[in-house]
Amino acid sequence: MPTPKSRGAPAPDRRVDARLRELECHHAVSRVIEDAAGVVHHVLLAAARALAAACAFPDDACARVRLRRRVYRTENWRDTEWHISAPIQVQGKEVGTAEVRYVRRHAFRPEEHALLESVALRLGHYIERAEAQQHLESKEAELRKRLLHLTRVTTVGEMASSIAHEVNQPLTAISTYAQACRRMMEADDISREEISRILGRITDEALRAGEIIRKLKELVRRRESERKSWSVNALIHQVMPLAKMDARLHGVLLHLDLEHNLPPVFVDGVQIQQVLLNLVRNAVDAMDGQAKPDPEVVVRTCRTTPGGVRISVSDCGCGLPDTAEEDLYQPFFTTKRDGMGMGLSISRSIVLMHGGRLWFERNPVRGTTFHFSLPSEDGRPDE
Amino acid sequence: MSDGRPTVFIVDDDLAVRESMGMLMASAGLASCGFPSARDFLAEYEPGVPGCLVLDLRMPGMSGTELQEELDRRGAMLPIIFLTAYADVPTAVGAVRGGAVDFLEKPVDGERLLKRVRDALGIDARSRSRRAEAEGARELLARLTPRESEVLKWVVAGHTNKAIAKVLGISRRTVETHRARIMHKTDAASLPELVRIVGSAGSR
Repeated sequence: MPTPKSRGAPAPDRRVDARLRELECHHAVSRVIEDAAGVVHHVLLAAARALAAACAFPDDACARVRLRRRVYRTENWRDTEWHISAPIQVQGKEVGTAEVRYVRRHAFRPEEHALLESVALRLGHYIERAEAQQHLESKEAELRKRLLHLTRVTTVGEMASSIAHEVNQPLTAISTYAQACRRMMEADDISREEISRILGRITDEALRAGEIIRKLKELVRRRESERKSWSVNALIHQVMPLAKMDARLHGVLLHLDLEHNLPPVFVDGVQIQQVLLNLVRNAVDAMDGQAKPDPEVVVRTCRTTPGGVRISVSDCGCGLPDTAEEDLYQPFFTTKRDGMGMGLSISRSIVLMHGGRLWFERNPVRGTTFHFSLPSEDGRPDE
Repeated sequence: MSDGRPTVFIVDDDLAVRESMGMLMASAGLASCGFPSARDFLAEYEPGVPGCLVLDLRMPGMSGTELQEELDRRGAMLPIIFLTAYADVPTAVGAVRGGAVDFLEKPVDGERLLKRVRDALGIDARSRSRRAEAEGARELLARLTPRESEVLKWVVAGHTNKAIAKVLGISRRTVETHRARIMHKTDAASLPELVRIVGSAGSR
């Protein structure tokens, strides 16, 4: 739609032109509101441009929109004496203004006044909605962050006893190596080589204990989401010592069955590990007090078509109640005696945020398998 | 597994723990043998080999207490010293009630562990010789005829030949003959020795 540029056009045309410009201006504002998806300053800047373009003499027109202390103006903005303005209101309170100026003398027409008023009104409504949305989102984000932290800490709390055990193993080895060594030295029944070998073992074990503690610290640290390219298998390997400890405490064996050469995924590693730990913990819990022998949990990875990765955690535990489908992912739903009912709900929202999916299957013989999928770094969500 | 010397069986899923414990035992002149799991131990264990068990309470697969139960079922009376990262009271009580010699927290004091191990080996040696003696006594008593066994029961209970003859409805002479055969067959030199043999055969 060409913008009429002729000055002093005849009367009937002028009215049609004005009407067209008006429509075009509203259309531009609507479009940017939809496209900007909540980025307020994009909308306000675009509105200023659309207002200037909608004037009878667009080449001479400039505009600005002020919202609280922020000002959005067209590039050619100048303070001149030929101007009109309209208040922008949110819930009856003025929060800014929309303003159009001519850089040289032109008279503003009544329809230009009307357009400015109506755009200002729309902007008011838009800002009201956007700010409410932002408020909600930031509250939700904060809540989610706190919940993530909380479950992480809870999971860690529950794991503390198994971690204590696991740190105790290297400590036990260290102290026993040292005591054996000293006894042999006192009996003069040890060679220098043997002493040196034992000292090497002691060092290894001390480093092992340190590593466990470092992993624990990493897990507890509260942090912003940070996505990067990861190998899913590497993420699983990193978190295995923790998961194994937990399984071990409950007398459960943990097996890995990982497909090689999986495509990389672009994820927040800690969050995905959180999901994994959560699923493993659920699987272990599902087998607590189950028939022996050898309860085991299997963690599998495989490639999906097109181009994604699926991670599965299987148990041979007590299975889920028939009605689980409906409630399982609801916050505070739990089938455990002392569960909080947050794990799966958070796990699922983490997976969803990564463009994946989390679901479960009842195993043919016994127990349950939880799957979650992640799109590959350059692919789309699978399945 | 061993040449008859008592062996300290160390069952722990942690290699470094097994190895260091083995060294500690060696430093005290004790033979030891490590196993990464309860199942591995069961697969190789021969009840005839004397020794004791140093057992981690919590392991993947079969736990320490489960191994204890299994050994009990098999009639293996190996003394057990449990090691654990933290001794939660109910488990400890259960294990000791199940016959564990002691319950030590990891990391352990080496001297204390060695003392417990020596105690346990002593317990095992005594129970083995007691069992061997009982076995011998049972073999001796198995040589007796049913009638001689009957007479023996009354003799050991402290009855006179006369009383026994009366109860069994036989002559005093016959009782005396049975009695002489019993002494001969059991190789007992005196009544007190006969009583000891009977008592020992009754024990496990």
